[in-house]
Amino acid sequence: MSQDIQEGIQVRARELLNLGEVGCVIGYERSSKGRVRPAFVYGEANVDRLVWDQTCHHNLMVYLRDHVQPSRRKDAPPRLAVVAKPCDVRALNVLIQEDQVGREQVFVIGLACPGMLNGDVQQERCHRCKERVPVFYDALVGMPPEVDVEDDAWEDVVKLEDMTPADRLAFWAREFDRCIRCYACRQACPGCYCFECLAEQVDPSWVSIAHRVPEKAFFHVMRAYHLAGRCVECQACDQACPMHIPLSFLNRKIAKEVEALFGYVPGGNADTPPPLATFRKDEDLPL
Amino acid sequence: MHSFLDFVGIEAGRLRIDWVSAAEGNRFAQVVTELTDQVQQLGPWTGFPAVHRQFALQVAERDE
Repeated sequence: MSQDIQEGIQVRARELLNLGEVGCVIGYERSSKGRVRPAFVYGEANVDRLVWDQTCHHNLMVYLRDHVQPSRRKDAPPRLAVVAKPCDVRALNVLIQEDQVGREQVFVIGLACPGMLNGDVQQERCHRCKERVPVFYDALVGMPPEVDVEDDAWEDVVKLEDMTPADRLAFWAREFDRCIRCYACRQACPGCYCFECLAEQVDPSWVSIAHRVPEKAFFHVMRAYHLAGRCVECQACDQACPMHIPLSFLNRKIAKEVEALFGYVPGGNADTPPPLATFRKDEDLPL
Repeated sequence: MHSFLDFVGIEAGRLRIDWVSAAEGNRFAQVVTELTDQVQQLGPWTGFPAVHRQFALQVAERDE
């Protein structure tokens, strides 16, 4: 399965670079320590480096914005190809929707996704994922797998909602206490692309740099709000977090509310106006 | 937003989102007064800062 996908990616990458259709292919390679990491392939000679298996969890859409700008102003915007799982393509939809990346600049090598592994077990979100083939792609690699999918009943969110406020506070305090404010979650997030992050803004300095629970909580709550109606649940933040804080749990709560209020799931397509950026006169929301 | 704050363990009563026209000075005053009364009743927020002090004490005890 993984082997087929890996070969498929290599064939596509070789063809695209050969024809000069794209200047760069973003995929995965194996590091000298044996782990997979993002790879940027600029020439046919390096296509063999590209690998794929079920540990390739990185959301590569986070690298697109840096690669779609021409290096000189008069140059044509570069085109590139990117290896994308279904969740990654939803993130790409959000970037296209927000005018960060032009659809025509990106060749999407879509994967029929068997689900991603976290260690030896399948990631929890992949049990819920109904989307085994990306919502759009320019080339599809692999065969859609036959998998049993659980219905998403938001069980984890409801469980925390049912706890007492004091217990919820204690839960999050324990989680946020571990945060070392490395901002890896922000760097790994395709939706977090602000030129200047509110957390690092110095004039005015809204967020203190103190390494205390309230400030750490503030940062994560702020980040979750900024991703409201935009988070595609790729869980790149969870994977990037060195302290194993379940950061996407915050986003999941908001996703539940957004779905209940607006019937909207982010990243389904690039044309539906996002509900939190749309004003409707007739809208009457319970605030 | 209220629901999310509540999810993180912050009382939703500390936040109010409302819409007031620039011409409605009285209404603005009323909304702000209502909110300040509401927050005053809740008292100073002890949530995360209190937890932080508690954690700090635990660490201090452990290190002794």
